[in-house]
Formats: sequence, C-alpha cells, structure tokens
Amino acid sequence: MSTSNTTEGAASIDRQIPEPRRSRRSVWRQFRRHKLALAGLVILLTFSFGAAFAPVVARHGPNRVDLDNVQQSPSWSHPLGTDSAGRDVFARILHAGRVSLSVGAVATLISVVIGTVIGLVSGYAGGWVDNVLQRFTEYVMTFPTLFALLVLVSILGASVFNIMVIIGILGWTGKARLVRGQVLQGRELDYVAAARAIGASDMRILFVHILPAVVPFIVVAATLSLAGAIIAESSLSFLGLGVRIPTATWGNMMTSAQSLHTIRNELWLWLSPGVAIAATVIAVNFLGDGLRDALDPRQEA
Amino acid sequence: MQAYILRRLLVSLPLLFLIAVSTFAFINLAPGDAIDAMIDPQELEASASDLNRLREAMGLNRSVPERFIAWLGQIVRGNLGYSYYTGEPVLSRISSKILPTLELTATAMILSTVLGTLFGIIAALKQYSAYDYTLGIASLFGVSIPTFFFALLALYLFAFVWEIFPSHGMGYVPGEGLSLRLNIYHLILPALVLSIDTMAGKTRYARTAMLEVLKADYVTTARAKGLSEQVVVLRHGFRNALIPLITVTMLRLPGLFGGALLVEAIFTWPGMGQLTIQAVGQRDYPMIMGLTMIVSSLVLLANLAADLLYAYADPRVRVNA
Repeated sequence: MSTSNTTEGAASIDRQIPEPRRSRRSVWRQFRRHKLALAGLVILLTFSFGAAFAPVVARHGPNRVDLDNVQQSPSWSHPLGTDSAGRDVFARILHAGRVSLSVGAVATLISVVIGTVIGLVSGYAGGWVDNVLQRFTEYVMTFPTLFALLVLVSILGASVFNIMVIIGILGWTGKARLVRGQVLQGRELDYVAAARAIGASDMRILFVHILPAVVPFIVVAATLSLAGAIIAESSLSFLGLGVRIPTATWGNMMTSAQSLHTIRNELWLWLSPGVAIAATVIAVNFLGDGLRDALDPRQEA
Repeated sequence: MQAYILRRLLVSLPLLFLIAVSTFAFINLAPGDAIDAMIDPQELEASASDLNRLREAMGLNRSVPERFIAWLGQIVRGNLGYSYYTGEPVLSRISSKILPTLELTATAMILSTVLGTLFGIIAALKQYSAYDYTLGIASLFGVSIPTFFFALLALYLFAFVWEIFPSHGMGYVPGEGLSLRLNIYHLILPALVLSIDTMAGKTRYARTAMLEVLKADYVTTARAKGLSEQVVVLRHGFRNALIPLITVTMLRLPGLFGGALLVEAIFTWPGMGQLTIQAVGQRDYPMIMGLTMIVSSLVLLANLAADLLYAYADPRVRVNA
C-alpha cells in the first residue's frame, strides 16, 4: 500500500508506474468511465438546480398554510401531498434542499480546513506537538457525533449557523488523521529532502511540495464527509432538536414520522424527504468513489 | 499482558478527567442557566427574589470552580448529581436505562461484525463476480441511507404492512416482567436496522483488507506448500485481515451509540437514547452531564477492549507497546 515511486525500485519499472499527479484531462477520462459516479453527479446537479430555482419550479410557496387542504395524499395540484398545515410537500422539499445542502457544504468546508491544518502541523512538526494533537484528536473522537451534536446544539441554540459550525467542528478528526498520515509519508520523499537541502523554508516545503500531493486525498475525504454532514443535520432535525420550523429541512420535514400513526397512514409525509436525503447521500458517495478511482491510482476501490 | 492492561487503564483516567472538565465547562459557559430554561418568562411572572431563592436552593449562585469541585465530589462518590426535573439521582436514572441500550448496541455490533466480515470475505474471494458487485452496491446503499430513514422503512414494511415484527417496546409485559423470548422478538428489527450502517462499512473494509492480504507473499507460500484453500484463507488470510477490522470496529463504536439514539426514538426502546433526547429537550443539565460522562466512559472502555483484541490478534503489539 505505502509505496512511493522512489522506493518501489526496479522491479516495477516495466509495470508503467502512473504519473504521481495525473493531468486534469486524464482524471476526467478516468472519472467518466465510472458510470455510477457520473449518475451521482447528475443527481446532485439536478437537486442543486431544483433547490436553487425552487421558487420557479414549485407552484406553491413552501410556507403557505392552507387549512382547507390539510394532509392531502398526492394529487395533481400537490404532487407529493400536503402536511398537517396544508403546506405543499413538493415545494417544501425543494426549499428544504437549500438549507440541507448548504448546511452540508459549509460544515464540510469547516471540517476540511480544521482537519487539514491540524493534520499538516501534526505530521510535519512531529515530536510533542504531534503527540498533543494526536491525543486531542482521539479525545474528540470519543464523543459519539450525534450525541455531542445534540448536547452542543441544545446549549448554544438551534440556529442554522450554529448547526453548520458545530457539525464542522465535530467532523474534522478523520481528515486530520488522513492528512497526517500522508504528510508523514511525503516528508520522507526524495524531492522533499532535495528541497530542504537547497534551503527551502518549512512553509514552502509544506505548502508547495507536500500539500499538493495530499490534495486528492482531501478531495475524496471531503466528498465523503459531505455525506456525513447531510446525514448529521437531517438526524438532528428529525429528532426535532435541529433547524426549527417553519424553515424546512429534509430532516425536520420528517419529524412528524415520530408518531406511529404517521408512519402507518401518512406515507407521503416522510417517504419523499427520506428519499431526497438518501438519494443525495448515495449520489455523493458514488461521486466520492469515482473521484477516488480517478485521482488516486494507487488505491483500489 | 497484565502490565499492558493496567497501563492502558491509567492512560484513560486523564482522558476521562478532561472529558469531565470540558463537559462541565461547555454547560456552564452557555448563556443563561437552568432557571432560565425552566421558567418561561412570558408564562410566569416570577420576581427576582423568587428566582434568586431558587438559584440558591440549586447551588447555582456559587462560583463555577466551586460547583465543579462539588460535581467532581459527586462523581467520585458515584452519584453524578440530581436531575433538575424529577429530583432523582442522575446515576440511578441512567443505570435503569443502560442495560436496554447495551443490549441493543451490543447485538447490533455483533451482527454487523459477523455479517460484515463474512460479506467482505465473500466479495474478496469472488472479486469481480456478480456477488462482488451486488455486495458492493448494497454496501454503498447501506452506508448512504440514514439510520432513521431505514428505521422508518423497516417499521412500515415489517411491522405494519407484513406484520412480522412488533412496532415498539422491548417486550415488557406489565405484571409478568420480561420474558426472554418476547424480548428477543422485539429486539430483532431495531438491532438489524442499527447494524446496517456499520455492517455496510465493514463489508467494504473487510473486502479491501482481505484482498490486500491475499496478495501477500506468505499466502502464495502457503498455497505453494499445498495447504488446502480453506486453511490458506482462514488461517493465513483472515487472521491478518483481522487487524484493520478491529480498528474499524473501534472507530465505528461511537457512531453505533449515536445511531442508537435514533433507533430508540423510533422503536420506543426504553434506553439511554430516549433519556438523552428528553434531557436535552428539557435542558436538564445534571442529566446531560451524567449521560456525557457515562457514554464517553463506555466508549473508552470499548476502546480498551479493542486494544486488548489487537494485542491478541497481532503479537507484535504486545512486544512493542
């Protein structure tokens, strides 16, 4: 697994070792061959489009209460039915996509930045700094994410902003470990030693020589953690402790399905937001798999 | 080996202390205290002196370090304080809920480990076959579909449409107590639902680990020696693929506790998850702090168990540690 081009030696020269960094075009060619990843990309783009143009696509407003049409099953005028306040489920799903997708994206961005910085520092500095950061990472990992999320959100308040930040702050540990591992390997490479020999500064070595080689791994990890962030937000909101109504998210649209009556008799209320979440996360994971195959020639999917 | 266990236990203690400090800090640095959370200012006209009297009675007028010391004292005495709402000792309230949660999570962990490993090995041995692709797609769906959505689907199909399994509770009959048969009958559906996410993850890891190991020289040697395929796969392959699997099990454990929160809420399983959701909703801080301590202790203990398994599976760990 941990083979680098410099250490693999003569035995594999005739195996045509792939270029360490692939050109952009070959990455795309590789990615295109991965049918599921392409499907994932299409689904994700469709959902993002639907969310972005929600007011145009949906005929009804997401928060328009219509007490004459409460809990209608799907029909022509309400393709996915209406909820207990007569609001159109289809319109709410599109608008909820805005919140759910952006919470996921921002939380992922936060966790990637924290994880990359901690991983870089930890792996490059080594010694006691590494030791302290590693123990800190392990300490954060002992808290079950959903549990910590519940507690922190209840203390700090359940605003969309707080939820984004808290999911991001809880989600960096895996990325920190990944980046650290890659930096530890990268530090020993010949071209890094060469850069050091000609007197390059630590910052230059870290950002110009080591970081670019780690980026593909970060991209893949970020994609997969987008999936995790979307699930985290929806789980929290499903329990009724996340984003508050009337702001719709896919999770809080399913809150009513905590009653057995709704699960049994009002299928449309929880099935469609559930499918939206599941389809998004599946799409993201397919995308992540495709990216891994395309960006990282060494690892077998 | 005993020295190793002892040292690992000692390392866990400072971590536990750190968890106690941060739990306490987070809750006490938050704006507003329990009194604010308890009394809705619009609903009740409470005078400032009333509120102060209540604060004094609950010890909230003392300084933060003073309260921390008092709380630590309670922990050492094995108590964890009293619930703001019911007045019950936190620990006795939690301990009555701990067994159902352990029953659920332990069953899910065993299910996911056994089945996940098995699926992973099958996928690796039959690489690029129809089995491999089916398991690959199934495990991708498994990690992607949120636990609570799985739970709702399972409940709808198995409890309502086909009426195979009960929809809620853990099989407790008032007056008769808990019969094992009924309890297992109630356990199957929630435990399966809880195990799916972890099982899917393990299938993928087991497959990768097994493929990696089967390429190793010692496996080729074992085959060249003329050992039966079964011995090669199990004794030479599987034993070595075990090590990354233990890591994954350990890493996924906190997630299993998190998933139990949702599964317990949906299947009305009377465990710590329900207690947590209730405590968080009521801002019952002593209860929240107690739950945090208990859950993180359980995770630490499980990590310890995983470390011991490591040492068992990989003799090098014992020597170098």
